[in-house]
Amino acid sequence: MSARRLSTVGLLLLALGCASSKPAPPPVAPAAAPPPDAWRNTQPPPLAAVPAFRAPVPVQRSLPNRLTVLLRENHAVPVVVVELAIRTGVDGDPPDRAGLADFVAGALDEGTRSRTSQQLAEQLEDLAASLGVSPGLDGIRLHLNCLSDTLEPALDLLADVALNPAFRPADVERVRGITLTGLEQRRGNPGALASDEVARLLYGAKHPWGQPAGGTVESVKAIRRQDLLRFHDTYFRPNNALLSVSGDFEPEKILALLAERFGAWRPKSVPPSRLPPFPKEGARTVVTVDMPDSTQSQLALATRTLSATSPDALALSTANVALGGLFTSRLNQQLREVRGWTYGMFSSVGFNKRTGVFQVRGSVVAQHTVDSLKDIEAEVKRYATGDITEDELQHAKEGILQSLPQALETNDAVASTFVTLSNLGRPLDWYATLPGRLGALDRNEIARVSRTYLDPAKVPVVVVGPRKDQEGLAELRLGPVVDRTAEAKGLAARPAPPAAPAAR
Amino acid sequence: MPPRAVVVTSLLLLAGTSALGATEPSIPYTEFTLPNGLRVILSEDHRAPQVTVNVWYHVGAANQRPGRSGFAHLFEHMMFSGSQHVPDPDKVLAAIGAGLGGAANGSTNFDRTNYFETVPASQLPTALWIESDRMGFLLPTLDAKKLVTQRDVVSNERRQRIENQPYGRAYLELCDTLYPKPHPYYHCVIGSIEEIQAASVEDVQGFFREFYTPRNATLAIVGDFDPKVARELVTRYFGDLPGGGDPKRPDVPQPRLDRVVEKTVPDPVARIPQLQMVWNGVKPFAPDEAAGDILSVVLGGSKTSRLYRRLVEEKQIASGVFATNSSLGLGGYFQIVATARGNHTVAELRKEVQAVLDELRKNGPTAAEVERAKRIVVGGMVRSVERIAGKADQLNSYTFWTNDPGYLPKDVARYKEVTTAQVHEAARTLLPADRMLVLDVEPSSPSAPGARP
Repeated sequence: MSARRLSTVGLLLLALGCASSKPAPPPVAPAAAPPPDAWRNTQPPPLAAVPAFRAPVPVQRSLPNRLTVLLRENHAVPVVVVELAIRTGVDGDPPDRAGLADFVAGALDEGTRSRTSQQLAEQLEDLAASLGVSPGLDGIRLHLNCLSDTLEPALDLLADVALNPAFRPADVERVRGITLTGLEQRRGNPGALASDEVARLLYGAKHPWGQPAGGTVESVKAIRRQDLLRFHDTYFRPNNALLSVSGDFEPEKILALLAERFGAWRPKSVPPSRLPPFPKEGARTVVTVDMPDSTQSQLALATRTLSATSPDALALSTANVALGGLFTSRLNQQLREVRGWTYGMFSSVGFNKRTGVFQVRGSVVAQHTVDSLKDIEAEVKRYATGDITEDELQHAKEGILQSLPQALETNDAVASTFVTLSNLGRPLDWYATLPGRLGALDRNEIARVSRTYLDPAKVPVVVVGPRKDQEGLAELRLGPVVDRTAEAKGLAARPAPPAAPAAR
Repeated sequence: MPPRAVVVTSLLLLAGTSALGATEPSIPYTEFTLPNGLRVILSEDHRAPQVTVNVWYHVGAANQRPGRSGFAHLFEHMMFSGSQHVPDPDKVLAAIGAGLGGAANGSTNFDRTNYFETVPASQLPTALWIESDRMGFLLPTLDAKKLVTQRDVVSNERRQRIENQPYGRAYLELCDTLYPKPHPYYHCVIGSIEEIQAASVEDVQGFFREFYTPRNATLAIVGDFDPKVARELVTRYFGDLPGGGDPKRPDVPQPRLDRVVEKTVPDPVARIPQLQMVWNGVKPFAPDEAAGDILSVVLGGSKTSRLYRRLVEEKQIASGVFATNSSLGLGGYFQIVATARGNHTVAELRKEVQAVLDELRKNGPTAAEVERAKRIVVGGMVRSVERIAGKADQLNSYTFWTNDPGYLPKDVARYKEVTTAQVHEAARTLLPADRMLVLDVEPSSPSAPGARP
């Protein structure tokens, strides 16, 4: 299937909200002898106002062992989603074990002390339930989606996977083989290579987040079963976890069910993470990776911004939507609709537990690699002036606000969103209170945060594409050009712990 | 893909009964047809103050002519380039809050094209205004400049989604082998860059006049609205559009593989070899479609599937494997895809897939396997109706394929009724050993570890 544009799910959850609808345009004003279709020239007025969307806010409870439980009832469909979030992810990887958290996540549902990998899979499938384990920079999520009438047996399986993984040697080796194959695939994938280079620039070559996603061949080969067991024993603790539940259940009943399965989980103090500091924002560089056979160049400009709990975070997210987050934003309009060089070029502002990331990203036809960077640079310079029109601001606010009901429509999305809010240290009613906070933003505020956080002189550039199409790159004077082809594609000896997971 | 709708209580399934429980899913709806032939389907859902508008045009790659691969999809892009009274629909959508997150988009597949937007409930009139204007008034403001831009955008879409994705080129090879020119599916939906670039303004005009008529479309509205108001609005915005023709559904015979066709596909983006085995497939809602879907799950739809167990867990020669039964209007395809692990080869993968197929053809699946697969399929239907956008698309899909917007419970029943014997039969008839396409995708970048000179 081909679509006019790629769907970007999720990016909206970064911000969202605003006042109600725009004022209606005036009604049709018939001229002297209007053509019969003249009434169509005018956009129709909105219908009478409808109640505003109320974003779900969870009820917060806890089990006796300090395990926090967030509950949101929703009886629309006979489904319950339970997300168990461990609050340590890639940030728990030791320096010589890049990829450990990913490995733990990959092996976790490959068998428990009482169930083999196949038995576990059979029992889940017999319930028509799905259980996914996703590693992230700052956590690991176990996401269960089950039908409400099989909640109890499905919870048994979730708890067994979370608390009693076996990490049998044969299963560990199978996961290792598949992981190494996946790492090899990434070396041919322009998007994956760009993500790894971005992560290295953002977080540094010595930081766990600066390593290639999933680790390196060397580090994955070095991971032992003991490492998996230790990671699990250290970080899979009720005091380092959160249960987020959305769906078709009765609160008191599900609390009892959860207590039966997670109540005996023993707390244990979790060591504070000792992560290296992020690299200083230095001279801007342009990192290139040569992909001679690619018909496009993958472009990325990225920098750290601010914490999700900063008072400026919402304004920065809103500024980004206006400048580069909408289909109609000038960035996409210029590169796609004016130039025809890309299928889409967008910017994003995202957050993790420790920082935020601003990124411009897209792929362009190879022959216009340098031309595209020139256009992008002009737009990003405009970002730094914070100069947007009132229309642009309103469209951004309206987009953020009106995308909320869709973004929070499913139980899957709601349960995951609560976890994200909690991880970021944001209040759980963040989305419910968004309309008021968003409505208060004006262009001055947008200009101030844009000038403060989006200085292009601090935004490094990554280009993954054919080198032969990069003539004139140095002349753009974006910064010194550094060719990392050999390192990125594994053609040269790497320093022990190399590079990183980016946007996950 | 066959539309897969909703749910079912798996307790009933576990109990082995086929009775429909009280929670049996359905999408309640009402419908009416305007005098110009536009069929309209309404379904209220008041969970949130939003409404989704979804228009299906009964046209896709199936309606293309030789030399114009990719055209139906290129045309879809033109529908966003502005119409006589709505010169910039994207800007209007952005202003009412549908500018983010895929709230408004369109898509083209082999058999149909859709356009949709989810908007605040109060903005239903504007959504209908946009859809009616491009249904009735696209051509007056269409010009070469708009077309040239979208030809380039779509060419970039092909580069991004096919050429620069591992194994994307194998998909084109699949289409070209199963549906050789002049079959309209050749080059898949996306088409070749050369033929995308050859599209003219006259092509766009002709296509619009032939296929973009009210009579050849259906309109679904799902969400928070008053059906009386919606009907008045639809009548106002669409009622005076000329009905136009009622183009016949394309009827092109499905080319049939008559032997084993083997091809090697060099792929500069892939780093690991991949095996694809492909058979001629069925049409949506064909009598053996449901059994074929269940067969695909038993073979390669889950971690307990036969191919996963054999290739990934036991032999450990594959990093991943799946099977799909793709039903298409002019005849679909059944596909098995196995990606190697480490230095293992396509020949090794093929040997093991053959062994699994031989065993399945001979002895059939177990009753437990079939029951499990049915639960997965039916359970998966549940989740799709959690979203109003999904429901709207499903209503249009059922209308298109079965002429019954309310087909959902029947669809659930269709899968529940599949028997072990039918799946065994499907393994023999749908996957003949002597009539298939075998693609050997080999990394071709000089730096790839397994690259062959």
